[in-house]
Amino acid sequence: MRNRKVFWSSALLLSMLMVLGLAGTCLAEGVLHEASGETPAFPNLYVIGWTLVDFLILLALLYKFAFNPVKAMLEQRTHTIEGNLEHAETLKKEMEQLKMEAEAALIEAKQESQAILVRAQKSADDLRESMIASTQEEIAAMKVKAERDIADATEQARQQLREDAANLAILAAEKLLERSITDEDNLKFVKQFVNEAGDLVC
Amino acid sequence: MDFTAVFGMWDAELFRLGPIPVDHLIVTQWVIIALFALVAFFATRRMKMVPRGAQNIIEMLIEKVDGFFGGIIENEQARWRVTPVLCAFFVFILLSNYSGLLPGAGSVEGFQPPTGNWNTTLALALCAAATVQIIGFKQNGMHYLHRFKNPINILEEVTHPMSLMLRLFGNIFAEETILVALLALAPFMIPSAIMGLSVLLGAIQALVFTLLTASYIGSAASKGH
Repeated sequence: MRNRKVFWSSALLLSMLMVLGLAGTCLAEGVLHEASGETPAFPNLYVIGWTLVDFLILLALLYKFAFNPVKAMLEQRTHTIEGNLEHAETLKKEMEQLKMEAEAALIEAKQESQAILVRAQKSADDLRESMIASTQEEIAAMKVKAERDIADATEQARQQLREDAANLAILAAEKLLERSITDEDNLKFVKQFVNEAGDLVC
Repeated sequence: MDFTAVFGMWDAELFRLGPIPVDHLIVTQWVIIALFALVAFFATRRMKMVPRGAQNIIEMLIEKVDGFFGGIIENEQARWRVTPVLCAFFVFILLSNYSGLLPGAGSVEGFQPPTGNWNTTLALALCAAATVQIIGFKQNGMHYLHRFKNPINILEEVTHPMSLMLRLFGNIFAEETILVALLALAPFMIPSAIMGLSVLLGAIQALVFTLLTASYIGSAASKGH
């Protein structure tokens, strides 16, 4: 920017110097004259006529090289701009149509995803409930089995206890009587005793 | 060929084209016209949709002339018709005025701005008056003649071109005379300052002449008459 200023200032100064130099030379040669302020000769019909002709020539050249090409270009530009605007309008409408379609597709997709979500939720709930139900059934079955096992074990233990008590009673009776009694003879007395004693024990 | 050593009187015959004498002024006009035609030719030789370089200048000239001067003319049809004429007035006067800023103009014999001579400005004013009347008749037909029922209007048709002629001549002649006088009195700096003002004056005079012509055309083209 600064260089430009320097350049133009130098150019201006140089031009002024050249003008003044030329003026000085002209003055020295006697070509340059002082102004007297006298007006030019009037009327000079040749100058008037030539100027009219020159003006008409300029008008014709202006029509030929400036006005007509510029007018044609402006019209062409107008057509191009109008065409572009129409194209832009068409594109805008197409874009709006596409936007509407995209929005509709988005809404549809949202609804679909919502439905999928609901279905998934429902199936998860169903699965959970079925799992809970099956677990509960299993628990119930296990409980029944455990109760049955407990009952069986209790019965088995009771039976074992009875047998052990009978044996103990036999041993005790042998000790008391100091003689051996055959198993078959005494089993009857023992069982009777045990039953009476067992009812009391258990 | 008699060169009178007085500024303003150098519109002497330079040569003869057959029987017709050609003055220095006319050659200056030819150079101005040739310059403009060359610039316009090269600017519009390959017109582009997006204007570049000189095409911008010519397009801007036409558009600005149409917008600024044509804006005065209410009649759209007349406006588009006279835009080239207004453009020619503006270009011719502007370049003629600026030719007086070239080194030696007004000081070297035979070289002075054409608009500093009232024969030239009279011819331009006659062109303007003719344009006004032609547009008036074209737009209004024979109704245009009603305008001349009033003698004041007839007088107006004479005074308008006369004022155009004298204004332009007076301004440019005075400017050139002052420049030459100052150059002889004080060849340093002072003429340069006046030359700077002349740049403005030349543009203003071209503007005023074209603007007034547009105004007269607008008045003649309007249906009120």
